[in-house]
Amino acid sequence: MTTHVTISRLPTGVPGLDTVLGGGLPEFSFSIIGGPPGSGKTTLAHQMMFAMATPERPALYLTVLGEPPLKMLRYQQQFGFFDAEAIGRSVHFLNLSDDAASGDLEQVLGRIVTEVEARGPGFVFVDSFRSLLRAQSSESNEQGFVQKLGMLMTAWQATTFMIGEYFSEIDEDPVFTVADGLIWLRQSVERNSMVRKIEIRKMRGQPTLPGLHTFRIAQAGIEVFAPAAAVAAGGTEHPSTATGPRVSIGIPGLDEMLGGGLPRGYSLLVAGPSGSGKSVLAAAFLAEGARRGEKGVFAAFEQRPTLARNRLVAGLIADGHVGLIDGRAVDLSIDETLRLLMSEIARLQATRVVIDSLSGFELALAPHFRNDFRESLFRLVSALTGTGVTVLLTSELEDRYTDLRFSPYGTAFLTDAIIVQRYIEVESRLRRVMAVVKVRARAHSDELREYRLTADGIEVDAPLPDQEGLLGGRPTLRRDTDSPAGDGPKA
Amino acid sequence: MTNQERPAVAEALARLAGGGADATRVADAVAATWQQIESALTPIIGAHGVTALYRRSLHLTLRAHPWLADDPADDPLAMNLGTLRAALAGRSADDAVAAGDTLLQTFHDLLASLIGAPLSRRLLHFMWPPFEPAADIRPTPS
Repeated sequence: MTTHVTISRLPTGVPGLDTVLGGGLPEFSFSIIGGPPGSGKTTLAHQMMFAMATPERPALYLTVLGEPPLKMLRYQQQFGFFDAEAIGRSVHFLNLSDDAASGDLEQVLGRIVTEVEARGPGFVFVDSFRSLLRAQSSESNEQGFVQKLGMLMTAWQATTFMIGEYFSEIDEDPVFTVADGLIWLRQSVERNSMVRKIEIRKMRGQPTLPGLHTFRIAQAGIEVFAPAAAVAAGGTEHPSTATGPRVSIGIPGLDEMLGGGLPRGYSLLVAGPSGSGKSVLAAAFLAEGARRGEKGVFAAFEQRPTLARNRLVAGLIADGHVGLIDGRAVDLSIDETLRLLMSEIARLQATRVVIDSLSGFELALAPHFRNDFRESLFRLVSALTGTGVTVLLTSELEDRYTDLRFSPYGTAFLTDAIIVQRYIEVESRLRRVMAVVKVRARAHSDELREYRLTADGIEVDAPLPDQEGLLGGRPTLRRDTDSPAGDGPKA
Repeated sequence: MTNQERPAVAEALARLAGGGADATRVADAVAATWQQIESALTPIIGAHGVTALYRRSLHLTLRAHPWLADDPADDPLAMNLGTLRAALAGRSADDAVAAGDTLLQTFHDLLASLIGAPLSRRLLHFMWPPFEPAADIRPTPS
């Protein structure tokens, strides 16, 4: 029998934050919410407070010398989580500026104790404790004050947050030692894009997700985007791809080339030059799903609305077979995109996902994230396929006839299968060929097959046995093809 | 603004005057209401916040009732309820009701413009029906 104390973990009410915290906020913990001005500290505190406070376990929000409370109430009210009905019932605001103005920390502490005894709060917020400490003459009192307050609040079984502005990322404060948790908010600006990040620098007794996690402040409040791996871990289990059914692409001939369709839960990269029909192939993939009663998700990252040119996909979306993610929002992060995809997949119980295209996706990301594009894309694709969905990604690939490339950015390794499309010149006409370059752990065709784009989509034709040097872009007639096409070399 | 959105204190003041109360009683009632407002809001927005809103309301009310002006000797950073009470008590009961009503109404509107009507109403709930008048506001049975 274990005699260890069990620490309850409280849901914070901030989407994604519980995952990053490693399962919620430890009850009766004493945390610092730190960061530069404008990083979202007060908003985070309010959102958690309105979510966690109840009339039985009310919250006490102490304001000290920082943002005037009148303004705080005015601006926080703009967020969806703000509930005026809760004020005076489960949420109590208390201004301590008069006590703080006395310059005596003991007096402030005394006032806090009086209020805590009177209200019996389950949650206490001090905003901002840094301005309170700055108003004092002696710096040596700081740590003592925070330590005493931390002890008192734990004794009163109140989960406590100290909100403090820190102007430098490397600010070290002795009070960090005293705190159980350090929740750090940052903003990084690159060119004209701004990305918000949260880091759990410390949270005693639980496995937090290390590193910086992006978050967004929208009308509903803060949403944290947990990293791809953590999101995937929470995903549904999928049947083994080794024995599972194959997914039909919906283009006769192409399924054969893939060795009988794509194994479910695989990722497929379709790479080709502009106009080669990548989006047409992607649309066929979703349409085939719809025909079989499967739902799909289409993430559009093209600058021109893809729907305008792809009527098939527009129809599928209008009929509810396919969910649309408009990836043209500003300053996206990979983690945010994944969250959007995951929630749409869950909503529709989708099994097919299209990302059109990687080039557009890279442009849609905040510049800040482009440096780790490959790495993040790998995490994204793994997380998606980890849930059992089959993913098709399109990628612009400039034709080069001096070297053979299958994908830009060296992304070839990150998908399970690759189809390459290419232009060739035959008899002064541009014709298109495609080949299956890889299907991981599966036998597949090695043919280069010609295909045509028609009003009905893609039609895959026979290989071109009478031509050679197709990959050079300017094939020539085989010299030994005296016999009619299709017979192949003599045995 | 409809009657539904007006604090009930104004009606109580009118009832007080209608019941034959003199300006001094009206002044006491107005001052008592301000004390209630002060104790309700000071813990939340701080004494400075309440004073700033009071003084802005007084300033706006002076347009219609210039005789409410502060004593120049008063502290410009305080509420000076003594001066307000004296000014109201020195007028007719009707004048006192009108000025007290305007001042309280202006304050309420100012607060509502900053933090929204629902929250203002929640914080100043005692000014709304079901109204429980403070002892000073209740008319004496004749």
